[in-house]
Amino acid sequence: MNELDQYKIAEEPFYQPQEDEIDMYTAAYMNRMPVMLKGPTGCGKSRFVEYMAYKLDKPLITVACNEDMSASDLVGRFLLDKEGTIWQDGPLAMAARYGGICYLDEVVEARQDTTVVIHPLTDYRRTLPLDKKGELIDAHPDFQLVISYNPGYQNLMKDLKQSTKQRFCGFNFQYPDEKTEAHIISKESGIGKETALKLVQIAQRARNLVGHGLDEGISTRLCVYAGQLIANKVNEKSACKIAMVNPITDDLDIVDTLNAAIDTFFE
Amino acid sequence: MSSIQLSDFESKFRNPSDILHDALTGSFIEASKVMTPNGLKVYLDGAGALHAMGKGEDMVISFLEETPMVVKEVGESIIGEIVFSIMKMASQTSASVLVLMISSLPNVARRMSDFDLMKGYLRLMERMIALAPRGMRPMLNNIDQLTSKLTLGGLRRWVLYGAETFNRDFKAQIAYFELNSAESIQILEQERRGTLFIDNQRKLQFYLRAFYNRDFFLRPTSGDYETKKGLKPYIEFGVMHIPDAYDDYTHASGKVVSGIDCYRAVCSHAAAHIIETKSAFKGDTLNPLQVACVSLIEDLRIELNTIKKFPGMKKIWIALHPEDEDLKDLNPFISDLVDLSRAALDSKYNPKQSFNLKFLELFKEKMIESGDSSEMSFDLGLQYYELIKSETDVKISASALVAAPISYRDDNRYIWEYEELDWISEGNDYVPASQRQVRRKANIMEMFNELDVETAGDDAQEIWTLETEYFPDELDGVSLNEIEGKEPVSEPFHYNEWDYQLQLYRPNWATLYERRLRKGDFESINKILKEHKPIANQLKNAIDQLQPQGLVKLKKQQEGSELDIDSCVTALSDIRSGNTPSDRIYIKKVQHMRDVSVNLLMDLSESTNDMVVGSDKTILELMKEATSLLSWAIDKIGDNLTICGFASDSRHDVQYYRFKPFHYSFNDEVKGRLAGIKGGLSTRMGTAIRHAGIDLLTQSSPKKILLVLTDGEPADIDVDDPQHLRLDAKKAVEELRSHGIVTFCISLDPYADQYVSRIFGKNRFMVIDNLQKLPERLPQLFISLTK
Repeated sequence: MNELDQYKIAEEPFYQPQEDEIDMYTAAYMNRMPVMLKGPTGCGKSRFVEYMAYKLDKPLITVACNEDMSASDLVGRFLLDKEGTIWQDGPLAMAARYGGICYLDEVVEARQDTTVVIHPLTDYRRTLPLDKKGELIDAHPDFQLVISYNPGYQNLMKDLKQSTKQRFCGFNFQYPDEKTEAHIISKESGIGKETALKLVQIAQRARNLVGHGLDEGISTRLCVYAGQLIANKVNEKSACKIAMVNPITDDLDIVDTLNAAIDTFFE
Repeated sequence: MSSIQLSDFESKFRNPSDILHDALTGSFIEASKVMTPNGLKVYLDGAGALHAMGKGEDMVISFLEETPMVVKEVGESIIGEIVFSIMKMASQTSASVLVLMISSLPNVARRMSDFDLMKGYLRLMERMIALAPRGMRPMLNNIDQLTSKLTLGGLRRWVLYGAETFNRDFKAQIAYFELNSAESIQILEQERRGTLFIDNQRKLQFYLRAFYNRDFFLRPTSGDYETKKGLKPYIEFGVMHIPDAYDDYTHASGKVVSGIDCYRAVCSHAAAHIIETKSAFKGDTLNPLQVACVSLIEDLRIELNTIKKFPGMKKIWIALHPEDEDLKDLNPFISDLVDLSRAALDSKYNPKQSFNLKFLELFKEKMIESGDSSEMSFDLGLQYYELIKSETDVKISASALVAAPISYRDDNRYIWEYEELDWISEGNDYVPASQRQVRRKANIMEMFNELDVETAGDDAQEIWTLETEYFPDELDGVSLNEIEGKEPVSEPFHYNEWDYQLQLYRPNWATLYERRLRKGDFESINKILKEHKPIANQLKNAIDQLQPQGLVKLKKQQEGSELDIDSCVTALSDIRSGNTPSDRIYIKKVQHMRDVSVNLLMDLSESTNDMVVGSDKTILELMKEATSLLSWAIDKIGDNLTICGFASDSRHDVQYYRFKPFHYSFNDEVKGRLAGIKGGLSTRMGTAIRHAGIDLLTQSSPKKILLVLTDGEPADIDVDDPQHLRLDAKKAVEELRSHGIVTFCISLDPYADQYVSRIFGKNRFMVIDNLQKLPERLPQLFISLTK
């Protein structure tokens, strides 16, 4: 267990439950069921996993997936040593060996030939073959696999295979409702409820434009950024512009619309 | 294509000179592309009438040459108007001024791009001739500059000012219209409109969508106005009609509200009506003052309800309320209404009239009680009228009542004339595409016994085809179908078409058939390839680089999935001998993949039969050469290519030809099809793009590219409004994009920049100016696009 101690979450992260997801996740973990988190960017998927890892008191190993990632980046590889070569476990092997939650963030970004290495770990077998090393890891009883992905912006070609999808139970995340989101923003950034509510209002204006010029709306995370800037005495309008408008679009007409929305909500 | 023949009209031109004759033939071809037979008739009749006036041939020639370009922009109803105007002016001015006027029309049409505005321009010219004939020539010399700065109303005021001020002083008049006098420039600046609807429509649509999460239909009111105040906006059949230009609004105090904010205020107010006004008022029994009061209360009710949701919205509305200084010359009744309106929206404002203050309290109470229903406004409005009548001496003329100091509010015909109206069906009834011919398969005995005409043409009601090939003895082993039969036609595909004026799809509007042209001689394609051997050699290098190599093992990498044994040994021996080892000891496996599907869609309209200037080939021949080379190159690279073409003959018959299906190699069959390419008919681009997209979606490649090769903009014989097909094509491109298909346009029209970027988007098109280079440029372009 020692190897994974550094991955333990020391302080309780703030997480505002939206529905019964905490109970559901706990139940899934009790059965060590693999979990898939779906939802738009910045709506709290990663924060939720962190929170659950803290609650369950389990180490959390996070891997940010990308296109260049190969199977050995997950499983492990040989390194060179004085005496010859030594085997270095990858994050997935480590979690499986010592018992931890392995979180593959944005898993669709990884190539399909990479994602299939998780298959034997995610069904009744719960094993991870290290073919190069000639070893078969039997997953630790505490081990659980969590993946996340964003069904919104990926194109048709970047999707999980059915054979991968059907190994998980799924949690759908959405942006929280107005009051909850405002609560989250004010808690995270330290600004007042009223200002937080205005930020949510502005974000909702952008979310209405999704599919009509925007690929994705303003996320809770960006609202929190804006809130933090405001808490640091930045002028409200400028804070919104740099945190909530500039990052999400290059379309001048949309920028103009969102700026008008900001002017509507802030003096 | 058209039933109008030029020869039928030649008798109308008595003793034409050679020049006129040439102009006539040249323009006729041009005109037949943009006009329906009916329009053509008006056009030629008009030209004949102008010729008969005896004002010289120059005028007739410029009419013949310029009119098609005007029609292209604003539709063919304008032809009659032009003829009418010229005839009217002919008695008042010289032929040379008329020629100048006629040649200004295409540019003006491009600027106005609306039939009513264009008509307005012609009326203005007539008026100008009557008022200041001497100014006409200098003004027409500057007309481009003028129309680029002024709206029609602005131009009209500028012209009338000059004509009236200097009606005796000819010298000053000429200087004014030459734009050489200070006064002229000053008035020009004054009339210059700030914010144009056309530049901001997209912004406004986003704005409304962002706030209300639904779409609204906006249209510019196409009239223009004598006073600078402009027409009031109005809502009809759920469509917001909004002035086509707004100046910055300047209060008497000097405070300025920008034009775009005026637009936003208008739109958000109108949207509030559409959302909040739920039932109509019967206004028959009310007097105009009562109507004004009820309207005001209803305006306030919907605005306050909106402000409840979006408190900041009131800022733009309050900003457009007249301030005290603005109200000086207004009728007291109107001032009182404004007073109430301001007080209701702006909590910082203290009403001038004490009865307004009192009424406001009642109003607020009622708002809490029953703020959601329009009926409340009706009762309360009448109550307010009684109140104001008892408190003040109400005297107002009808004209003063029309004055609208609160400029962003619409004229409220919506709340008085409101009916449960399914406006979508207004004039837009869906007519199912009728199939004009029935094709069916018949067996040989049926054929033998019942066939009337063996070689049916397009006018036959039924066409029978034989399921089995029939080889008549006299044809020596060639089947009847091959000799006489037309190439088979697919089942119809129906596609929606985007109507930009309604902002809705017309369901199953266009019908597309996949057809096959008869094959040509494949040797001709081989000849083309031989001819262009030098280009092929040039391309070879680039092609080699693009060929996929599958899995590539890269040795000596810093990171990788496997150890590179050779470098490991070196590294270990380095370690043992005390040297720093290299950390590049891995093998990295890289997939060198190329999985692209390409659809090359050619526009095969009539215009492709034109000769290319400075060459002995037609556009079509050059396209044929280019596609042959491209297919050869892509075949070498190994990409998945299909080559198709399209043409159209009204919405009932969009024709789609497939010369090379996906996964066919570049064989003699394909070459034969390519050799058979022919051009004809029109360009209904959107439908063809949609069909090409469906075609591409059947392919599994992650990258899908649609290359559209065209020599002109979308047009079809059954569409008057040139914007319609342009915007439909744009919509089709957007649809494809949402399915992950990249559309790229290669335009052969040197003047295409203006519209192609609008249809295909920035950086999504290329204009090839030098057509003769097309065979060389097309494969090059493809290679650089897909690198």
